[in-house]
Amino acid sequence: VRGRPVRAMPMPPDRRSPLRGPAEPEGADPFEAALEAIASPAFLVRAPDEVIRSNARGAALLAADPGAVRAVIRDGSPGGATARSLPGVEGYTLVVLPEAADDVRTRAATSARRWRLTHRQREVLEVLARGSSNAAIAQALGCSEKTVEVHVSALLEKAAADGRAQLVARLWTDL
Amino acid sequence: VLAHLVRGDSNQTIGLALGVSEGAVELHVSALLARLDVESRSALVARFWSSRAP
Repeated sequence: VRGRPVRAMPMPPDRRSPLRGPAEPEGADPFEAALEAIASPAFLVRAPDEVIRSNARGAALLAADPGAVRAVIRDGSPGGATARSLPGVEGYTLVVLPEAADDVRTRAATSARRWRLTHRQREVLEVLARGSSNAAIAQALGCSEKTVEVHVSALLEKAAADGRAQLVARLWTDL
Repeated sequence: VLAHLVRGDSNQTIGLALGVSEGAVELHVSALLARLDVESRSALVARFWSSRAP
């Protein structure tokens, strides 16, 4: 489902945006900065589901699974999204997903259910999801690095991930 | 490159998407890891998604 490049989404020039005043300095985008200040994936949406801007996490999520993200933006399900209308700006909403607000432990638990992990695999995933090397995981869990390798291989297979970086990405981007 | 990296894309996939060689992507990735002071790409992905203030 990937393959769509992530890019900034500039306002179409043919439609005047009420969000960009003429007095703004060239190059600066206060709205983008405001979106980036939100830790969770956040989108500026023009009704019903046209994404005008997004912060980096939102863009990554959108690129990873456009269909699912648009469904959440439209219907607020299944993950639940907070949609706020912007006072004085008609037709636009600010949509914030709860995803990145969760901590690693919560995400690992969710992924463990989805990927049908064993208890030990889930423990490995939780440490791995913090970006730890196999050696660090072995130390944290009190087992050998060889054992960790076996667990990680099983994890990659169950999650159908192409490498540990993708495994960590999937942990955060699967809705 | 960062935008692709945080989705877990491989260097080869990133290269194809951006129309540059895999070697060029490797250079960019190394530079990113050094700049953000992380030791692996999975650590970079982890930091991107889990830090409270991006």
